[in-house]
Amino acid sequence: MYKMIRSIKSINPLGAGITLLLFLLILLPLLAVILQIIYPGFFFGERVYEGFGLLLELFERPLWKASLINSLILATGTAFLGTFIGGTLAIVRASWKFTLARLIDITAWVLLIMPSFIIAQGWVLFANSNGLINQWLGISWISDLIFQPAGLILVMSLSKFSLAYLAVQSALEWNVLHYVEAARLNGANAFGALHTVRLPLLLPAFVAGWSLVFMETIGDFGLPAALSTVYRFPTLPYTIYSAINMSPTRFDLAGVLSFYLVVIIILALLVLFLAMKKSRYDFLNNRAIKLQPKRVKWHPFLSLISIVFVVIVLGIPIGSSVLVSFMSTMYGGLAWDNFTLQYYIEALTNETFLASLQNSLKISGTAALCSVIIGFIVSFVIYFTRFHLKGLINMISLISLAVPGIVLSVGYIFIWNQSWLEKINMNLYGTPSIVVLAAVAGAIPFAVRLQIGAFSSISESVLQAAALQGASLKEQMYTIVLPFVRSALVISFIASFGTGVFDLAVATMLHPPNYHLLPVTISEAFEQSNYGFSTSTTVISGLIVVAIMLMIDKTSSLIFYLKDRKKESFINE
Amino acid sequence: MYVRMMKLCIVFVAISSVLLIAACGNSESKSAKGETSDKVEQGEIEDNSSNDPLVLYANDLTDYIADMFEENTGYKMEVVHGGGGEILSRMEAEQGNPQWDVVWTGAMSSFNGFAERGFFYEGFEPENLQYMTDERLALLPENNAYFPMSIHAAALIAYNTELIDKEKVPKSWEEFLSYEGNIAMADPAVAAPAYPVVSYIFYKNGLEETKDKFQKLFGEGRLKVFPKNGPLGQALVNGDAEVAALQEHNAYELKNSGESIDFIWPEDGAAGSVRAVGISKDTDKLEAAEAFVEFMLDPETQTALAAIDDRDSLFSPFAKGAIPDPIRDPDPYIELPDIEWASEHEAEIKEWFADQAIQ
Repeated sequence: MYKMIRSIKSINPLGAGITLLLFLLILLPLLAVILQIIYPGFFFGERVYEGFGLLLELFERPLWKASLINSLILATGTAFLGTFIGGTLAIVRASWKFTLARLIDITAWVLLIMPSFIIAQGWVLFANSNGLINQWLGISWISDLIFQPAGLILVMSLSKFSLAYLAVQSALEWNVLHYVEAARLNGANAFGALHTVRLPLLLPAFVAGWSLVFMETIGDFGLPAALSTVYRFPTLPYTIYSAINMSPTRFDLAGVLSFYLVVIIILALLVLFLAMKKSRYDFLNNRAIKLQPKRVKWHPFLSLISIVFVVIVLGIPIGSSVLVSFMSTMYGGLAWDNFTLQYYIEALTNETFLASLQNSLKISGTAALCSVIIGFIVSFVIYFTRFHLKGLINMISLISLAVPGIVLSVGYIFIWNQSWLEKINMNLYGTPSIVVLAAVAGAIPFAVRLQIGAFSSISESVLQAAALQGASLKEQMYTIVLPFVRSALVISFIASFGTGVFDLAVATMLHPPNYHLLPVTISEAFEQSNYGFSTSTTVISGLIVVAIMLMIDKTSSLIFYLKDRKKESFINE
Repeated sequence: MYVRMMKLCIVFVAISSVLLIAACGNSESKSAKGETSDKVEQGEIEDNSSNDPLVLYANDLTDYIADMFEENTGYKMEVVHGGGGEILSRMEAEQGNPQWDVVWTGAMSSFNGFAERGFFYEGFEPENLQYMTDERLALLPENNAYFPMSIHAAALIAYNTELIDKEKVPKSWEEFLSYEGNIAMADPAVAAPAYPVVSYIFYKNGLEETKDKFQKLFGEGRLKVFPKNGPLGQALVNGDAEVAALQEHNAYELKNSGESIDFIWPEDGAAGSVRAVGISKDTDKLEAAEAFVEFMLDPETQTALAAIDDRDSLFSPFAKGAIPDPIRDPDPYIELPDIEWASEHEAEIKEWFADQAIQ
């Protein structure tokens, strides 16, 4: 009895609380998806055990099988091509100095934050049989090129390469030429040096980039959603959505497909961990120097290539949407008499759009704030407490990386739509709260990873030293931890907010009736071929979101600067 | 000090939990922004409004129906707008806990299936059934689980006039399936009006024979399937298909807007979609729900609805004396499959179609 009381007393309430919260937000919906496979009616009052037979049905129905195969083809192809593009760009960027090198960095970051359904809509407007390229230049083969599996792989690679780019770029940050020189001095030829020194050091980054692109592509809902209006290419996320949104509704099927999707992503995640484990940092010794790109004679050529590349990856999708938003009709082409502002006027006076914008900003703002707080607590528990379930917290936060929005949403429908919850006023399905919950869960991976990275740079000995000087824990947090992690807090807020506003999967699956959300409003207008409205609302909301993100960034920088100056002047005095 | 910090952090967790679970507030209502009307004319009609409005799930005329109903009966109404397919899937998802009191949409075969599964309140005998013709009364289920009130063409045969001469346009659904060029239709698994079309074609031409014909079309890559009627119409305009089974109002809209689109009413009947009203078996506002059914079956209501321009569909009212839509064909030939048959084969046909459409 005494032991029991002691063990209860020793429970770290903060750790327990955060574990419970992560369990509720991430693990429980995932378990619900799995449970639904063996008990198909479990959440609807029919608790009949069906076994794992449903899992095998995937290979019997042509649509399901095609969805699985299409997803695997698209993700694998994109992973290879995207890694090739990203890796090559990173190597070029790190090796040579050229004027527009920063442009590639900016493009990579823009693509990382831009919602895939907006990019895909831009490509559809550009390339479909009645699209801009065909109308203006009469080039009809672009449509045939893009709307086939290899074309989709190309489009996806051009929008997802940034993950591989950033992974390889970080591996190229340090100069390892002294190892290459050592290899050459020991008799290795150029190929031998490349094979034994450069490649082994770079390979993990390439593999990590590959798996990141793979995971991002296979869970992507935006591309198939935007494409569905012109080309039939069912993928796992889109078939999951169809299963929930058709009548008779197939929750069991949605559960099975979600399960397969998660299993595939977890396998890719394992590849990522393996790659990270193989990464070597022992070259970061006292001889390590940052890699300095070399200036070459032909650097204008590199700048020119950068411009062409940016025009293709950003100019086509964004440019097409912007142009269409100013065109009275698609078939009117690029002519002055076809120029109009009517769609902007329509958008700015449209109640549905204004309500969508307001709701989406509110929800993603709340979700970003919650996820930042959760990320902070998770990092705190992992780094500064002796909570015995630290491993579990870390594991759940990693699992959250593997759960695409569409699967999370399916799990949320199962959990939060049970009739007994109504009695305690907790039936959240059909309320904005469920969208907030799913948005928080979706933002946790960002928030946790970014903050864990920042927390890892704080040495515990610094805190111990502060404690010896008599600083309270609150003071330690305020004067040591917060200054270290404050930039990460702001970045994770901005990233969660920016991506959350346009999260199509969560919004489509969980939006309450009559509660308009931005991605759904834009996507529905696009589905109905109301391109003028969908593009003008995209442009307006995109500009507003970017302005808010910049404002937060600049304001926080200013506040930090003023605070630091105040502190400096205090110390000087 | 550590304990104090812990307490502070627990407060943080609590705040975040509260924000998460209740932030936007369950109290913000199940359907966040209702369209409850506030136009009860004091004194002129009985004020039947209570705090909780009657919740209607509907896919068309949702900007008008609440005000009209409240003006007529005094009952407050909150309208939840959604696409036809979206409404059906929501009803299904909420089966253990329905959030609706009444539903009004065009998916009678699905309604039939829902009626068999006990979704609807049964046995109500509206007085206004007296206005329905015998032909239309035949569509009423025996247990009065739902009430058909109008019909429109879920599809007629539309074509691109730049790609095909009028003489070559298929005149019937049988000719449509045997057409040599590229044809298109909406996906019955996604678009609510598409199932009445597919089920009618299957019913009319035989299940197995029609499967063979569809399979041939899919195999040869000549049948394109689009998720909804909007993109389907656009594909016809773009020339991706020469002929399409297009919903009536989309066809009228494209033709009237000057696109090179025209259509014919098929000789064997345009596939019809019946719009019906049903009451949830779990409603706690039965009186208001019954008043809504009476209201919808009233010839005056049906005339008023048919006169509103801003609609997603054209329709023929069922009530005797109701004035039909002025802009459409005054005597359209619209046919229906046997509802029991369509309902029974719904899942099978939709799944089969989805499986074939991936070719």
